[in-house]
Amino acid sequence: MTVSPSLVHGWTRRRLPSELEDARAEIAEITWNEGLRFCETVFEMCSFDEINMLASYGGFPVRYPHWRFGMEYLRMKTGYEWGLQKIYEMVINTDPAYAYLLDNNTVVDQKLVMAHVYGHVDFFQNNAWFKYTNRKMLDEMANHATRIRRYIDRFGLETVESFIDACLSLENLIDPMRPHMRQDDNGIGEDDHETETTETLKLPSKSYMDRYINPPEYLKEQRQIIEAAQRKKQHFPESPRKDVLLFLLKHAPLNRWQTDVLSIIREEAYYYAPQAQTKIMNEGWACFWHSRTMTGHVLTDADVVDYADHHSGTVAMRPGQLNPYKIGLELFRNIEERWNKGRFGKDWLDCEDAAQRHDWDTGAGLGLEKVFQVRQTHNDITFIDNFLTEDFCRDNGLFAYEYDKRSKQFLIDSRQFAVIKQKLLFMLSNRGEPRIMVTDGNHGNRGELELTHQHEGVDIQVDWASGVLANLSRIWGRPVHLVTALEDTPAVLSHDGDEFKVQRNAGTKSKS
Amino acid sequence: MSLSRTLETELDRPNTTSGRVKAESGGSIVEVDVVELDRLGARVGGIKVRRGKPGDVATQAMAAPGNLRHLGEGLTPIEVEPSLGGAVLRSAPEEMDGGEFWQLSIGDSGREAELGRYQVGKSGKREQKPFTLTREHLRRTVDGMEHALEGRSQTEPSTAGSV
Amino acid sequence: MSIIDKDLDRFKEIVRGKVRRELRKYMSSREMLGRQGKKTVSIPIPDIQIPRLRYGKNEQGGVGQGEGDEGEPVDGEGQASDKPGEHSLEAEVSLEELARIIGEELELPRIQPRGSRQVDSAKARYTGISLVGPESLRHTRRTYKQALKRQIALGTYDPRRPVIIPIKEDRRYRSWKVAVEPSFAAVIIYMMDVSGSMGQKQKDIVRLETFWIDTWLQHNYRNLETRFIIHDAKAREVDRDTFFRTRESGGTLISTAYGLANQIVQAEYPVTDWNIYFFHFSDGDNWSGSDNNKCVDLLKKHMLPVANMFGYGQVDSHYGSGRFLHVLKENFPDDQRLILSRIPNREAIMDSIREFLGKGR
Repeated sequence: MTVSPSLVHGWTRRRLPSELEDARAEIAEITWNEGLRFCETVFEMCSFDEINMLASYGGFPVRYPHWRFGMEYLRMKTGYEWGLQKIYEMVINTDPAYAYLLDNNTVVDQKLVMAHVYGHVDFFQNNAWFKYTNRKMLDEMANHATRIRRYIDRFGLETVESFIDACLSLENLIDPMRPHMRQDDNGIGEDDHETETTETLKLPSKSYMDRYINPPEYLKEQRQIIEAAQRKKQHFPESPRKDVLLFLLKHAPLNRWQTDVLSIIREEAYYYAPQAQTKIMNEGWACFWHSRTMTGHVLTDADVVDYADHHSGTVAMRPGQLNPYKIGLELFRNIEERWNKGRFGKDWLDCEDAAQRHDWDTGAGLGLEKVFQVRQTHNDITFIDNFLTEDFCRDNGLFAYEYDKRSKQFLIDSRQFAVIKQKLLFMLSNRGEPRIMVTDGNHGNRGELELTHQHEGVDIQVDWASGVLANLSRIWGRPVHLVTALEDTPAVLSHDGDEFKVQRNAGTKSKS
Repeated sequence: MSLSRTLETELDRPNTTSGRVKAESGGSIVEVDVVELDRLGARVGGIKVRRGKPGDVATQAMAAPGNLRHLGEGLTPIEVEPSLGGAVLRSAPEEMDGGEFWQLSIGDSGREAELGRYQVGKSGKREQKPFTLTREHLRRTVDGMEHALEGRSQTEPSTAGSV
Repeated sequence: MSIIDKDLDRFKEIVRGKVRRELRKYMSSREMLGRQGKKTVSIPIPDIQIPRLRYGKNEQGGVGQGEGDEGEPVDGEGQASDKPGEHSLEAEVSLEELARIIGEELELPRIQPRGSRQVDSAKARYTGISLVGPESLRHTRRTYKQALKRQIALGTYDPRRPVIIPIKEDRRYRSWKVAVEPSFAAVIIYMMDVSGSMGQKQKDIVRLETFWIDTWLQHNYRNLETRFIIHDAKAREVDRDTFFRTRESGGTLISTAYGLANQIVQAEYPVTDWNIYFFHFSDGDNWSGSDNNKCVDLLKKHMLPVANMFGYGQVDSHYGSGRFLHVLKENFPDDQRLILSRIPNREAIMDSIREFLGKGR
């Protein structure tokens, strides 16, 4: 049975009033005819405060009890006081999808919002990175909540809460680039590695040919390879593991309820991961569609862009900072224009004549087809990598900036295309977070845990790292280490459950 | 002879080694608590100059810093209280040297001024300590204190007899 | 109750725990100074966060949009630390709550009030159900229940057409008892040296400390009056705002403040009816020894005899701690009513409060 948010205690169930229902049908038809493919979407009206609450809960009215949701809510409210965040709508990735609308918008606004919503739903339904997400997440979240509440009742709030706190600090240590692997949650495929025996290495031959087909040197060589592999197998894990949570689930000394709680947190992290990887595209896509639907009808371009400007974000925009939602929209429009006008392919890339480029129009008319294809296959990184052009950067006044320690300010660093693109890709890489992997589950032969940070030029924030390592060592039950680099020197951050230590020049594996 | 010069003369006497040294000139008296003395400098516990005529303590407090600049730390009026006939100046906090500071007290309705050096210990305890001046600076200090009591800022010419 | 309430409450509870654990920091925090007159305090809580492995905040830089040449600051950038998205969160803690936390953490015993002055606060409490009363207190459910009972008893109740018509006799009302609660009265006389030697830092310390003393005493006394006296070589009574804003440059005659305080108490606060608290803050540089003697005299003969306590807080200036503290120590070696406290800096405020209020007064 699907849990409808409206049935949750304290939630005022409000379906669309009839004129809005008519509007919805109209918008659904228009967008469907344009090519959007969305599942059934349930719209509900909410007050401003209700939407805030929902946003604090990641869109799901039933979540496990935890203070972080309260904090998030408070944070959002404070954000409004600073005039930063304005949520116009909230859509969740489920089937049927649920969309929450602000109840005090005008009908025109609501139509725009609905078109926007259908854009989102289409994106969730069709983008490849969402393929393995659980569309029955409403039920799943409720189920998680029930399980955790049970543990709280049995073992006490503080016990369970502090364990959840620890897990949450590790929440981002998953491997969202390999969604297909998540199906192997019982571990097969990731860990096991069949070592071949000499026998299987032998090439098939008749016995009298054996000397020639499998000469002794060859066999010796093969034996050495096997032995090296076996030695490697003693290294645990054999290859670095990016899904740290999975590693902990399998190898940390957790009891039953802890294992369950950690797996819940991991599941929810994986559920949300694709959303983080496709923020720019998703918002750009939704804006693209609401502007297409509405322009020429009631709204002007300015209104549409205004919407993008104010759209909800979990990241507040600093003045001068890039608005990713606008970028997404502009890029999709750019792609549509280019593919309509044939501005792609070898001839286009080779053309250096500015005038020619300016007037280039082969009448290809492939714009819409292309954007639909793009929304299916790409994530933010490949999106930027493939479609951000020098022209685009110039036309939109983009620049890369860096923090200057001396003047304690952010200074414009460069307007060069290569630099901008590199910067943007770096910011998006690994969802903008440091790449961390488990490299040794038996460090020092003492069962200590070693993680390695694949350093790419930016240091980790050390004070937060100490908190995370404290949590990790509690879960692992033994000392833990993080190999990294600080200010260009190799360093190891360690925590033994009591004390946090930083050793410089101690590591050997940090990438320079 | 000026007050500072008569002090010099007293200090130069062969039997002057330590203790309170007094000198007089033109109605003004100077008293110095000498700890150690030689041809080039003196280590003293405190300097008192008494002009004997009452003055406007506010004017005196304003005049003092300019007259005692050679002391190295800028003096700043801390409390000026004509109703009680006195004022207190101390080294400006930014210019204090390692918890040490000058204190100039003007008292008895502006008739006298006293200079001392103090140190603040870790526990906040304030202690007076002896300080060292070159003979030249000692002379300038006495002059400066006298001028301050006369209410004169440093640039005004001296009305007392010179040399 | 909305869905967020439980998690929000839990979060606030955690905040309170944090305040408790870091009480010293909060007690020394100048942000408290903006709280005069409000019922709650906003505690900045930037670090109740779940830590994560992430890049240092300023390390990454980013991509922006707009005007400007290379090397110029990003348009609209202020100090990096003031990033709107990351300004610190604030949680509201009521003053009552704060007082409770202070009381518990500093182990402040409840004040033993003395004096027979009782202000009868007629606290009306709804206790029972009575048969008569004003319409506003009509207890609807009971009334209808009674009517139903009657109708059934009379046989006039028809379950097929359930209509209940209360008549006058059916009416039930809430009633109240007047509870007379004795509540004791207290007066605090704050005195502060505002002479030239008391700098802004010193005044901030006094301001913070009096805020906490106030908060605690309000929690213990329902009727609390406060009077403010500033002095240099002269004393005068002022209001709270002026108390903190004034800066003079004159000399220090502490006896003038004690004299004025004593005058006020003698005229308006008979000791039989009032719990009297004196607090004096100074840097301890009194003008003269003879004035020191005057102060000792005033204390001995007039003020200490009527006081629940007299708290003297000496704040250090750049020039160290003045002499007055010693004078008091020497003259009142074991008088329980006189509490002396040296406050070298803001971080010491918490200890000073503990010294003043830590013993049952």
